[in-house]
Amino acid sequence: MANVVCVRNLVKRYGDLLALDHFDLSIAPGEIFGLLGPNGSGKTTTINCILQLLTYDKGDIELFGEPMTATRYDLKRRIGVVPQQVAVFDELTVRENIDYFCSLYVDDRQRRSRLVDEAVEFVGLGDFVRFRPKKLSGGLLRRLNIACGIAHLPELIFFDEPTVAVDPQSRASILDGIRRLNNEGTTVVYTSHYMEEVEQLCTRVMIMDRGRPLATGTVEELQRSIATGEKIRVDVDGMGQATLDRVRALPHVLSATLEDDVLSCSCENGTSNLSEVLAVLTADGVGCGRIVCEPPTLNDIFLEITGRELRD
Amino acid sequence: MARTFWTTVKILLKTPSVLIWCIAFPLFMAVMFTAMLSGISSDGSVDPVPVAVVRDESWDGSGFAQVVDALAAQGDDQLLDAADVDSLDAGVALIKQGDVAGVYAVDATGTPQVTLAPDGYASSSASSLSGTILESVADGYSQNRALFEGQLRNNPTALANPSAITDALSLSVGTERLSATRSTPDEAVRYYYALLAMVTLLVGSQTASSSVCALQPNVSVLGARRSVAGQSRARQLLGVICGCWAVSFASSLLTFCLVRFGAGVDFAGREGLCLVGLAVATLSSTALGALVAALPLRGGAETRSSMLIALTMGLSTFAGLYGQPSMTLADNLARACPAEAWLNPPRLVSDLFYSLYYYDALAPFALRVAACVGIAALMFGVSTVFLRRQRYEHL
Repeated sequence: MANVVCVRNLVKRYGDLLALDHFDLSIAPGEIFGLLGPNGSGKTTTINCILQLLTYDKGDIELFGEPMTATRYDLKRRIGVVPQQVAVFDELTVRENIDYFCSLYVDDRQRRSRLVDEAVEFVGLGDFVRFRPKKLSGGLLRRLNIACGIAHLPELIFFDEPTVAVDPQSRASILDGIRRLNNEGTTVVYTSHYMEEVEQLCTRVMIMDRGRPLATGTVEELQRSIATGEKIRVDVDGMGQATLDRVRALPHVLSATLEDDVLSCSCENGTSNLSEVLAVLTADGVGCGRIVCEPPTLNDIFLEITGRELRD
Repeated sequence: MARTFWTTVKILLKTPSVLIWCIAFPLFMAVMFTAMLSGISSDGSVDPVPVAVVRDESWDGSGFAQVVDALAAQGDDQLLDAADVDSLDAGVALIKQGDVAGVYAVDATGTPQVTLAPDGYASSSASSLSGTILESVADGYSQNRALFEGQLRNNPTALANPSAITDALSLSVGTERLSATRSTPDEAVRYYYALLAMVTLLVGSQTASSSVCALQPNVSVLGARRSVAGQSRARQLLGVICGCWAVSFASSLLTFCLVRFGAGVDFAGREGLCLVGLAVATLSSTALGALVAALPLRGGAETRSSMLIALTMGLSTFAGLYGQPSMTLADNLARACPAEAWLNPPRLVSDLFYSLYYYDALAPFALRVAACVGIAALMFGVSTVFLRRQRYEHL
């Protein structure tokens, strides 16, 4: 089956700034594809180019195996978009908003009414259908924003940071909804700064920076692709700089820090990393408390790939 | 598209700024104009002129006494307010007190004598006019009396014919009253027509500007969401424009009704055609708003709205909205550059109502309707070109 999204050699410039540098992207049907990157890395620009909101200098974009252009309304009808900012009419009620945006895809009134009911139920806004957006909390607004993008049952949905500024309960509800959509066959493109969300949700992830893809794969594949294979954290008592230097000198330790009596080490893949670190601590008479040993998280992968310097 | 139409109407009717600018403001202006211009309309009427009458033996038997009594009879057409005095001195005393504008007396031959207040005793701005009226009444009587006395001497039998007497007293024998216009020219009408022109331009352009901005990704987040939708931009634009036009027309109609039935402004009995005029006027105004919203300008919806308010108020100057200086300026400009009347929307719309008011023929009205529709079509066409395939360098 053809890829749902296929971007080849996409180049986009903002004046002298190269926002997308010969960018390639392929998303298969049924995936939840996570697009990760620091601020200004080109995530939203990529989505806007795919949706034909932005002009681009070079490249080919295909959706559902067909070339995407600004007037391909047949393709647009198969797409849903949940923008980063809440984009609803303050003057309309919850139900009127969902119905209006659904009407931009579905002409038949009866079918639309059914779809709106389903969308309301899907995002759990049944008690708020007569409310205007200004009366809704941040979490409910986000859910309304989602309902407006998914009511027409699209085959491909772009979620651009849909959980910004929502509480944990609403976030869990939104993520659960996205999983349900995916289970029903919808392909999802998801951008977020919340690494744990992407880690839990996405079947495949692309980390991009400065308009280029730096790494693509499942979370496990990305874990294997970086130098860090294991992270060790030990609560220590009375540890000095000399001991820290000896830990850093261990052959498989990539880095080690001591903050607030917690020793954190990043190690290469290996079978005896923990025992080697503990041996140094015991030899120097350092008391040990809680010990945690875990593989690198997506956040670690992200920081290792994109670097730690601050971005705009 | 129908859904977009109704949604646009609903949104506009729930938007506070639209309600203020498109309903409250025009109604306020109409009420203000009504209050201001009621003075102009009443300036043509004349209050009865106070006059003292020396009621002596000569007066009681004179024909002039009958004329004065008839003119002083109470009613809508009362011209004189007569007060009896015993002597001329008593009448002059009343003049000095400012109670009357003059004194009527009749001499022994029955000839009217008029004593008027000198300028220094003018008790009101109407005194000079009052004196003129008193003189005219007396002179008219004297002339007619001389005419009849001459007839009596030269051709007494002619006075046996009542129609000959009527003709002799009437000025209409040698003249025929004609009207060059369909309705009597009225200065106040010009203000109201300019007001209607301003209102149609304001409401049409404001509603269209705000609504079309909400279709554009570079101006509003809603625009981005709508631009990626499965319905074409042209259809969305059409739905939005129709919605804006409907709201603008309703708002203009409200102002029109207030002007017509509240202020009693005359539309030459052509109210039905006025509605056609309002419809095309709001259409061209809506097109202007859509065009300004669609132009690739810097700034958001507020910037465009401010531009349109300034444009509306500025162009309304040349429709004569702001009083006599504005009207003089508009007239001078129209003489120097006749094309301006066809290119300036408020001027074109006020002329559209004028053409109904003054002309018997409908051709001038039809020409202006066609001009409004043509301008609207041109501006909608350009707006569509800008919007239909628009993609953006930046968002």
